[in-house]
Amino acid sequence: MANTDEKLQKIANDLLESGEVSLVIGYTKGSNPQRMRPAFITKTEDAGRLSFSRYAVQDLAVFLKKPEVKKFGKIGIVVKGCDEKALNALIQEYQVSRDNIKIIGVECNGIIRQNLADKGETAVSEATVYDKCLICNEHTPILYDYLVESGEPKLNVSGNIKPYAKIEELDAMSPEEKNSFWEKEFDKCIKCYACRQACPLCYCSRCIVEKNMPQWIDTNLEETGNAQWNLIRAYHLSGRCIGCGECERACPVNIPLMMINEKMARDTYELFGYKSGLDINAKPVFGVFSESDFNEFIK
Amino acid sequence: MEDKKEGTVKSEGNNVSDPRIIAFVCNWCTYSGADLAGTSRMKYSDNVRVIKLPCSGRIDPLFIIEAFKKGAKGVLVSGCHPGDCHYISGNYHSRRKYAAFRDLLGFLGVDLNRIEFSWISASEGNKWVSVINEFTDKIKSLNDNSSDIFKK
Amino acid sequence: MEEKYFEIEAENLKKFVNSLISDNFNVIAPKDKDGDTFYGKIDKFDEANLDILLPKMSYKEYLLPKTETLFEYSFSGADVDIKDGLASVTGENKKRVIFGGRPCDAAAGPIMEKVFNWDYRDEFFNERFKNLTIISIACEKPDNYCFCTEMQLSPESSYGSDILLKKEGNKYFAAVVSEKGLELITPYLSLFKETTKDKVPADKDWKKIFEIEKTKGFLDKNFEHNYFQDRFLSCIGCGICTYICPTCHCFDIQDEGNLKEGRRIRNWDSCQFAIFTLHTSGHNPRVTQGDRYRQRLMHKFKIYSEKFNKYLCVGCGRCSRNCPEDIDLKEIARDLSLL
Repeated sequence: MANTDEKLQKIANDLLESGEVSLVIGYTKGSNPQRMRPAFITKTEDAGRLSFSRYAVQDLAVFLKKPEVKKFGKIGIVVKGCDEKALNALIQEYQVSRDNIKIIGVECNGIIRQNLADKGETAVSEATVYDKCLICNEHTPILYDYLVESGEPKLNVSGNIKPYAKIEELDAMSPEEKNSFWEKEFDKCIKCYACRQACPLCYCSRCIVEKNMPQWIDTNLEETGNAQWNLIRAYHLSGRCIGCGECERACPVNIPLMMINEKMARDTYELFGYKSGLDINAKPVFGVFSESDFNEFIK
Repeated sequence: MEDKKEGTVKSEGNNVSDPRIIAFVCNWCTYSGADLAGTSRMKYSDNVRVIKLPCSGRIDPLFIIEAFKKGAKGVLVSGCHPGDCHYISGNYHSRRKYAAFRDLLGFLGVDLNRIEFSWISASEGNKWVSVINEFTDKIKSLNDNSSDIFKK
Repeated sequence: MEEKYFEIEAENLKKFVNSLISDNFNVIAPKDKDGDTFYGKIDKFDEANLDILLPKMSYKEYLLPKTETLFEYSFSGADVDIKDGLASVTGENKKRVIFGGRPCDAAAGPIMEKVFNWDYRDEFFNERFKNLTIISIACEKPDNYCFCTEMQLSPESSYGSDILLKKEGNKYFAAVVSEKGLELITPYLSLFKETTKDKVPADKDWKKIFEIEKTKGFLDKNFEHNYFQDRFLSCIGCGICTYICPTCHCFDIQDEGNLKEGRRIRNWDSCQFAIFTLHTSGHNPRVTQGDRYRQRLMHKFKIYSEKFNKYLCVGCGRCSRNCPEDIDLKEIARDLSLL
């Protein structure tokens, strides 16, 4: 652990010292021992604040969409495997230039669910990490300029806990049952748009809900407006979501957004053999087509 | 039911025996196909309202949401057959989009019988008539009491 | 009103709440849902979770609903029918009781009331506030994110509550501090035993870790300080802090409808959104997230207190606990007080 931190600090220090980057985004200790928070390091003397642990839950790629952060030009960023996929997707979609970022990848062996960590959970295990960690194939980031190994023990996945089990459950339901499930979920929505803000891939400078000529999405925070918002958010992320789970974590009313995102990711893979964020040279799935695409639903 | 004159707008579209159906069609194929049906004096269900767009690739899923929001019981999306797109690839893109969008609607509990997709060329007036009639019958047979995310 | 003091056995408290419910009161209490606790309507006492510190969201929505219909209109021919939304609020003849909240949540009501009765009296808010009776339970163990003491309250403060309960072993001491509170318990007085103030355990000596006046002092003088821009680089502008806040009350008025029918509604809004201050011209006076978070601090700790003599913050710490990027308001207020 301490070793990981030292390596991170050294890399950040060197990058800043040589002027290769003007900002390093990483993690530092948070408001309690079981929390980490983002750190923005612009001076070498601050590099010592950098750290990484099993509580480093945030996807730092989200900051690359902020105009204030873009101003820094060349940026070094600390990423876990899942977050790095967000970087790939951003590069694929020409939001970030590969030349402008230095990717400091860290090996990650699972992140403890924040609500459990807040209650004092300290052990990384199948039962305490996020579902995304259980299906993770990228414990080591795919693409990086620097790699920092993790001192954390490997995550053992026995298969006893089924990640995103609720998806199959819902798939087996009738439309009415599915509807009543989502009706309850969307009823909770307060349209704070935290799901959008926390998403590294929701980078439109003006979101569809902020346009009112015409008003596509009802503004109310009731059934109709909430359902439309959640539907269109999920659609815009279909085939793009890399599964970092930040939307669901941010949601203050616990709507299981990752269920929808993961379902769409699975369907996109099934239909078009595409997984988001794996290859910076691949074309985004809805930017291309194949003549032999799935046609069964069309008369 | 009162007698209604042919060719007049008579449907409020909000009851199950007389549902409103919105068809989003492309300018080059399906619209011409519908036009052919009309000029050939073929009859088809007058529950449908046709909205013409340049290409099926232009039919944004938001349009479908909007149609349902405003009370449509069914929505049809129709364009040129694969390979025939006036803009070469618009319908291929739209097919990909709609494969995903349809899945999403289904997952969120929308009855997929309420949304239909078809390829209808400029010469297929017959197909237009049968697609519209079959779709209208299907919508009429649905249980109107079921609710989904577009209905209160 | 002169405060009155009662003792009530835990078993009788349960009876009291259950009788309120059976007597047609709408009782709102912390209730477990999806692994967290939220305020919600309870159908029996046992549904309430009184062990947790605070529900995830405040009960603001019972004073200022997520979406409030101000009026509805419909056309029939040339006639317009307009229905006042207030009618449906006054139509809620069931009185609401918030049971088992904490003193910080209770304090939010009278603080917010000031802005809703300033140059314009907001009938919607007032009607709801009037029909709300608040029974709070004093905190025994505030956590590290709590800072009500610094916000001129305390874990045992009765400000804003109608009845404040203090747990003592297997019984509660009830301080009835308002007419509303007395009126509520009067029909059930057989469950309560009147006592005097000296029997009630005295408030503990709660320590402050910073002086909020000093925070205000900093804000008074440093509108353009670099602190804001640097510190809030890590803010993603999600607005959760404002939506779950018991005192944040910004709203947005929107029209929904068509030429036949429609309504004017007011929805929750947040100063953390870039679009919040965006002008029609395209100019935005609050360009960066630093500007926007500064606004939140200014409104809470400076502007509101200058105008209404109350800080627009009760120190519940919800914004800190739930911030996805771990921005801790208590820490910030403390840092600013030391700068």
